[in-house]
Parts: sequence; C-alpha cells; structure tokens
Amino acid sequence: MPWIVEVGDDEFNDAVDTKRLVLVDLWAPWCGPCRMVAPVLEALSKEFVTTLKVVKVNVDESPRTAQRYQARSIPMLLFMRDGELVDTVVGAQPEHVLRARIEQLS
Amino acid sequence: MTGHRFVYSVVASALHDAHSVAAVTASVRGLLDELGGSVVDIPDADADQSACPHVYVVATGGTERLLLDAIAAGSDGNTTEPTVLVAHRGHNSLPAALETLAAIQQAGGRGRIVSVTGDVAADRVMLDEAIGDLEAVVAMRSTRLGVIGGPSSWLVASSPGAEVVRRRWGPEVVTVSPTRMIELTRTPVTPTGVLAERFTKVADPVRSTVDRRAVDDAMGVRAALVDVLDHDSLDAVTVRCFDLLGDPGTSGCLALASLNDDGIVAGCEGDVPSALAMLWVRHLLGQPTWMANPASVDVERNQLVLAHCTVAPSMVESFSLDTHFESGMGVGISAQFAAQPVTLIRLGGGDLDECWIVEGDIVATGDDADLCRTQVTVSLSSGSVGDLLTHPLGNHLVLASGHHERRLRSWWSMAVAD
Repeated sequence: MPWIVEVGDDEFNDAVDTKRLVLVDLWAPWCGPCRMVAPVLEALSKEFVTTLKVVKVNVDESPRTAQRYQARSIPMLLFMRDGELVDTVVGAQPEHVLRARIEQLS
Repeated sequence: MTGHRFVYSVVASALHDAHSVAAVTASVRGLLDELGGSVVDIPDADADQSACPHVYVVATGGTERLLLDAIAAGSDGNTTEPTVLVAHRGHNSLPAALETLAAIQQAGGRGRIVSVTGDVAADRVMLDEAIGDLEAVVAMRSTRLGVIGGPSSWLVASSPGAEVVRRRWGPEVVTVSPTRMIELTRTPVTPTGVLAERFTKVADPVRSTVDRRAVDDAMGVRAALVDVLDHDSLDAVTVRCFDLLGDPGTSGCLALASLNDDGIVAGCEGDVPSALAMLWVRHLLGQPTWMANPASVDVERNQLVLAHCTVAPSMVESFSLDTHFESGMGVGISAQFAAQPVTLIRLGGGDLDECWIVEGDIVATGDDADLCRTQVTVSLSSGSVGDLLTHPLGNHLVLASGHHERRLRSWWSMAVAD
C-alpha cells in the first residue's frame, strides 16, 4: 500500500519521524500548481511503495508548519529523513525530476 | 472599401499572360480571400488602404521594380510600414521576392517573405500569422497611450521619450495631467456599485480583508479613468498610480485590473516600456497580460518569483481582496494563477531596441506577507534568469499566458529590430 497521510501542525513531527524517506507536500486548496503536483506525488508513492512516505500539509490549516519551513511559495516539497530536512524543492516539478530526486536520496 | 481584413495585389511580369498568372496564383488567392483579403490593383489610391494591411503576391519573376514602385505608392512614403511578400514555388516568384525584400531593407524598410509550399493547411497558418503581424503593426501605430501623471520617479530606465516610442514601436504617447482622474475619483460621477460587484461577488470572502467601502472607492478610479480615456481620446493608459494613495487615498489596482479585462491596456506606475509590451501582446495575440516585479531570482534553478498587486481576473483561477502591499491602503488583488505555460517579456534600451523574451511555466503560487499580493514562481524553459542580473532592461516584466516566444520574436524581427 502506498503511504500517504494528511496531517496538521500537531501531528507533523510524529508523521515525519521515520527511517523512510519522507516527501512533505506543503499545499493549499486555492493553489493551482499544488493541484497539478498532487497526482504526481500519488503516482510516486505507488512507485516507491516500500521506501517513500508522502505527508501532505494544508498550509491554511497548519500555519505553524508553514512558518517553520518558511513556505512563502507553494507547493513546497520537503524531503526529510528521521525528522530532519535533507532537501527542498519549490514549485510543481515534472514527475521525472522528482523521481530522480527520490532515487538520489533513497 | 470596407468589410475586409486586408488588401492584396497580385504582381506579375508583362511577359506572362493573365490566364497563366491566374492559374499559378489561384491557390494563394483562394487562401487570401478565405482569410479576409480583398484583391486590389496596384497602385491603388483608395484612401482606406492606409489603415489596412497590404500584402503583395509575387506572381512571377521580373517584378522587382514593379513591386518597389507599388509598395512606395501604397505606403505613401511611410518606409517603416513592413511589407509582406507572398512567394510561391513556380515562375521565379521566390527569386523576385528575395531581390525585392533585399532592396527594401537596403533602403531602410522592413518586411518579410511568406514562401508558400502548396500544403494548404500549413500555408493558411503562415499567411494568417503574417497578416496578423501586419494588423498588429497597424494597431500599434493607431494607438494613443496616455501616461497619466507621467512616469513614476523611480523608473529611471523606463521612461523613453515619445519620439522614440512612436518611431520604434508605433504608438503615440501623450502625457496627461492626473488632475481630472483625481477629481473624478474623489467625487465619482458614475455609480461604482455595479463595478465593485465584479470583484466582490467573485473574490474569496474568507481570505479577503478589505470592506465593501474600500472596494467602492477603488472602483472610483476605474470610473475616472474611463472618463479620461474618453476625454483625451486614449486607447490605453499607464498610470502614476502611487500618487492616488495620497489623494484621493485609494489604490489603482482594481481599476487597472478591470480595464485590462475589458480589453483596455492599463499599466502601473507610468511605466511606458511595460505598457508597450502589454499593447504588443494585446494587438498581436489578443490577450491580457500581467505586469509584475521580479521579486527574487534563483539562477541555479532558473526560476524567478514575480509579484504585483493588480492582475486581470480573467487570467487567474481565483482571487481575494487585500490592501495594496507597500501602502497598506486601498485594495490590491491577491490572486492564484493556474499552473500553466507562460511567456515573459521586457522591452528596454535607450532606443527601445532591446527585448528579453523567455518561456517558462508557473510552478508555484505565493503568499509571502513581504511581497506584493499576487505572487507566482516561474521556472524558465528558455533563456536564463541570470540575464536579469547582468543585463537588466528595467524593473517590471510582463507575463502572457502560453508560449509565444517564436511569434513575438518573428514580429520583433519584422517590425522593430534594426
């Protein structure tokens, strides 16, 4: 099963505290590019079903997390491992770009 | 002579009989008629032609001098009007077109050859584009651009003289006193309620932070600008809009946004090069544009963030109403663009003879409290964002939806470049 969870500020730390590579999607319902990247993340979570966890955070409902990572533009994608930030990508990137980044960080 | 999009003349050597010329140009003439053309003899003294693009079909070889004479007569001494020559594959048409265009260019004129191939669909596209280019030239030349209040004081590289604009790009630039606009905004003669509802009915009520009174006041600027456009016979405006914040105490953002959606190019801060780029896209591609500041650039990722407080609502997916960023006054638009291909344009240079045109995609939307209200991140697929750091043509960029670099450069080469 692909591992995709939607969390808020209170659950965020627990959600990213895992040995797996975590891809955090900071998004909002009103953001057009966020809607474009959503199906890409869904596909990648299936492709990397054993190694990747996708954590979605709605920045409107979770302002603390957005502030913590200075999410001034969305979608902002955070790559994390063991709760630590290892890379950041701003903007809806093509699937092959994100795949390459996941492979590099896995 | 009315009801047609353009006129065209078929130019043939006397060595060829009329029947043979008619046969060899039948396909081209059919396409030109289909595209809204009307055939005229050469030269034609009909006065209406001056406001209408003129295309020359080079039917045969040996027509070089005939063409030059006809073009000179048709242009009435205006050598800056580009010439479109249509060449076909037979009867030495293309060689004659090449020789003629070379002579035109040696004399300081402009033009382009459309070399049709016999593939009707492809030929139709090429001809339609060339005629559209000529229409845009005519439209630019007939535009009166009002700079209301003059350029803002900080636009130290973006305030070209009216003569340069007229010679290089076509529009007539007139500086208009802001007094009428300010007085009419202060005491609107047109009710602003219906105008305001264009925004209040569509804006996201949850994210909007300004009240209805502020929106009514801001739309007073629109009513005033419409009056000024009519009073001064203007087709487009760029407004020294920061002055409005002092008196009458509102912003121009909503007014400029709604005018752009109504097909009237309306730029910010009295920035003439940006208004020209907006006019260029409007006349050539028939669409509104967004004028914005590059707020930051990321050379490594070839991305930049653009931000401004006004945008035509038709360009975006949704928006909310906030105050104008720098002043905290009036009404600004915080809009969300869809992820989409875009083209960025900047005109500049002392003689307005430089342009920066790149293509990219909107990949993110912003909500940074330290920037103008509408924010997007554009990832470039052509050109380099680093150019802006090493050879900026000025502050503002103009964003158009879609990828149009080839078309814009083609027009630029024909109508503007040396």
